Amino acid sequence: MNDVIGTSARTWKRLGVPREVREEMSADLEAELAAAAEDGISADDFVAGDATAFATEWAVARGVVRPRARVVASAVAALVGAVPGTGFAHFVAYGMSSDGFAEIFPRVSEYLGSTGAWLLVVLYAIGAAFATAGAVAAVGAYLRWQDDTAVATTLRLLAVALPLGTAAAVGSAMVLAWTQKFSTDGAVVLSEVVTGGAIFAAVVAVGRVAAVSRLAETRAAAR
Amino acid sequence: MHSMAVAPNRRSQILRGVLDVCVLAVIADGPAYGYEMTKRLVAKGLSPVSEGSIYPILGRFEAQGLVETHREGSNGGPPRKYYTLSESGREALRAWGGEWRDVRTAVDAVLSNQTEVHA
Repeated sequence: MNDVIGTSARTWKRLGVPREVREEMSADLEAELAAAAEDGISADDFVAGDATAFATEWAVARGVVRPRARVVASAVAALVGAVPGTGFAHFVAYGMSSDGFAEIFPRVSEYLGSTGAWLLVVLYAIGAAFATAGAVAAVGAYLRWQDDTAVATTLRLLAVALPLGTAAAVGSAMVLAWTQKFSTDGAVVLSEVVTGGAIFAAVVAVGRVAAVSRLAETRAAAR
Repeated sequence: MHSMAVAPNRRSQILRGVLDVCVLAVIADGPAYGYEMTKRLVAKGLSPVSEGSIYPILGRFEAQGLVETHREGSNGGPPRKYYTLSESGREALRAWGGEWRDVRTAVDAVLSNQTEVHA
């Protein structure tokens, strides 16, 4: 019986059920399990062998699941998800114009240096889109892993806000690069990455806060 | 062969669809705590999938204001939460009960034709 109550209590805490409601539901569950035990029904049978599913379904039905903010973790997940796309864009920006690249692919380098400026723009855009999609996917995967109740709302908001955030991040990094005369010095490149990343993460954080607030308002209105 | 394999699940699926109105009905019989409702359902021939399956329904009823609750001590055990129907709950029972009877009548009509064909 204690295992079922303990698992349920942990599940409610993870779902963000307020403490006083958790205590009330634990007491109710204990009383019900005790009554069932008098008839020889085990706690495991009572919850059909899955205390987590039982506790989740009960809390959701009661409308006491409060989505956790998970702002910092969502921003970190977005940055991690954006790494492949950002890496690709940096390769386009610095790798393709490097001497090493010219040695390996001399004909491509020659083409990019003469008439391929438009191709660079397309490649930058692909890198940005790749980074945005990766960030949204990473945030979605993280929130689903956490059984978050505001996943759909968060992803809808990020799908709209993050392309703008990516543009703002890239634009800021480019302005910074311009002020540094497009230096390839390591410290300059790092400052560009940090600036762009900070703006990107801030947009994710704002989107997440907005999603959680919107969900809370929707639930409050539904009661 | 395949339809035989899923047959036991069909009964629980049907029950899931009407369990909420059945729970409302057993609460209407008199104030009850959760497990007591399960026993009332079993006594009338309905076995929920598990004893705990009515709690999400009770939680929804609470959130929708269909039930009112109070706590009473049990014999030596922790206090139990008793549920009674609110006025909204009584209205819901009338409406949902009517819907169920309509469906049942229609399904009976369809099945009775099939029975005559295969008799």
